[in-house]
Amino acid sequence: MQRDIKHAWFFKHPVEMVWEYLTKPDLLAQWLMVNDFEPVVGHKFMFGTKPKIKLGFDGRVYCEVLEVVPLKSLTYSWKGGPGDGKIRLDSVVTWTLTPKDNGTELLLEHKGFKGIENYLAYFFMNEGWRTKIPRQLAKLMDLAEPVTQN
Amino acid sequence: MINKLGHVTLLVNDYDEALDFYTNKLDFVVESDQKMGDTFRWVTIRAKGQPDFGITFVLADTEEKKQRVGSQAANHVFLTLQTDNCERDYEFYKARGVKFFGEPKKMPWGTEVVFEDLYGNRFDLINVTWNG
Repeated sequence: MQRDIKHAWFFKHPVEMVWEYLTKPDLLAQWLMVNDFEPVVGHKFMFGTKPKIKLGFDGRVYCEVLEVVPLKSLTYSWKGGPGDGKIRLDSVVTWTLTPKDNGTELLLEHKGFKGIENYLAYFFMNEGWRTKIPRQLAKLMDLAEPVTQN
Repeated sequence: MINKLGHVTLLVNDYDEALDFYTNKLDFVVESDQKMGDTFRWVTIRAKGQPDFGITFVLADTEEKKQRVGSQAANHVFLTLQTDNCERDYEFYKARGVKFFGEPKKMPWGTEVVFEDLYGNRFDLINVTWNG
């Protein structure tokens, strides 16, 4: 059994701005998690947050950039586990940006929640993405100066 | 001959608050947490990449021990802690609320920065690059 997460949002901001918030570590940290991301295929990086030891999560998401198409799409692996090199969640996140109605449609696909041991991870991640993006990312971009002028 | 370090003692005011700091803010794992009798609790933690060296928490149950909580090495670094990426972990631990003294600095032997634990014990977080 595999569950996938798929959500789409519309922002009134241009793709250039949404792309910056997905790919600049300091901006990404403001709405998602602290990280050492670089938009370079093959770059290994981590997101850091508080561990949930009892749930088998060591507070780090182990990632590798798999694909970068500037302003269009971004894919990275998203792995997590209890530490000591053990991986329980082995998933892939893909962001797709499409210019639409003077703004951007952002599609998130998060795939690979396999088996019963990842049901909780699926549940938390699904809720996390669903609430974080409108509440944090949209709010930040609303408050920010536009990065490009039309 | 003596050929290995076993455990190092860390005086704590409370086992649970110390465990919370070392496992939830840093990345230590609990090696053992056992009650022995009614009063004694054997609590040790270790770094993830090193199974055979641990920190043993000892409850400060006398005035003398209480005075030394957080200053076992005065204001000097008590232990150096090695990482594969000092800058990244500085950001991660800072985001979890760990108090640092300044920012990571590149030195001839590696990149390092000093932080303190919940009691004020100082630790050097270091990515050793010196292989001479």
